[in-house]
Amino acid sequence: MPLPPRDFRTIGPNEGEYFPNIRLLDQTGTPVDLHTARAGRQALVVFHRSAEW
Amino acid sequence: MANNIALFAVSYDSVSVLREFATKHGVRYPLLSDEGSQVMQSLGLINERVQEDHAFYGIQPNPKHVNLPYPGVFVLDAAGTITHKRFHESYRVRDTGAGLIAETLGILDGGHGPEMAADGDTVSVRAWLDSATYCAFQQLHLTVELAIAPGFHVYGDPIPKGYVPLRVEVAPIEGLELRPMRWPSPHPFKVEGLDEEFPVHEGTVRGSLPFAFTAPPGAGDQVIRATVRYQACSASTCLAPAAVQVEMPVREAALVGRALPARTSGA
Repeated sequence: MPLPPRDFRTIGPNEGEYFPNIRLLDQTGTPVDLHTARAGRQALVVFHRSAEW
Repeated sequence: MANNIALFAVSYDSVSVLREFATKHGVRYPLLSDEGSQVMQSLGLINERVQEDHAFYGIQPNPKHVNLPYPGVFVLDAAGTITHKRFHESYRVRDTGAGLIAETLGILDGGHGPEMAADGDTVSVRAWLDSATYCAFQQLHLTVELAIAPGFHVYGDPIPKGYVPLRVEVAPIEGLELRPMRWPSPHPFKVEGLDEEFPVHEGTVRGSLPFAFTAPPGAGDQVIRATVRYQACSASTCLAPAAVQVEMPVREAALVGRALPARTSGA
């Protein structure tokens, strides 16, 4: 049976909203504060499955 | 990154996994480690149905397939506001970098794939792909741009019988999936002495056709062949309907970190 379609507009923060600030370690172990690191630039924030598999 | 756009990639991998990946593939943008998936959880991005979905797609259960986000991207403007959000159901569907940037940020000079042009007296046609390579299931775009001489127009949809609207027909290839071509909305044009209004495009009109190759990896290099059909008219004359052929090669590329399977046929 096919899976019911999802409404991807309801997943995560919405268009028109301020992207919640996130703070995570990067690949060098340095903390990255997203909006600080953006430094006033436009940004693409990509969510993806593992880089390992 | 080109055009001064910041790029961040978030996954649940540990710093050491990301470090290894970045070193191996020469990644210079931040790969952010959301080990434990707490940030993705708080953003509401976790695919709670991944096991069920994988069963549907025939993927065996795997303990690693928990707390995975839906694959997708947020585009932020300079103030940090979300201007676009693009998420895909399948982990196999990805946008090309150039396609995503072109479509969401309106940047078209960031370099793109193969291009063809056909110059005419009244209408010049340019067509290009947003990438010179494809991976299985990756979403690419064929962009077609018409430059129409002043005083002339081409027809959009819906169009009265007997007129040829602007159309792009792509020759079928096994595994090639086409989505609907998107054109800007035509505007009404009234011919003196006629009651009807015609939907027309004038000046420069650019349309985009999303497509993907859904054959399993190893299908090989492809050539996108398309026919652009239109009829150019002015207020007083109509030229004969025209058909411009465009051909653009696109090479198959392996997914990052994967090799393409060996070719078995001599195709």
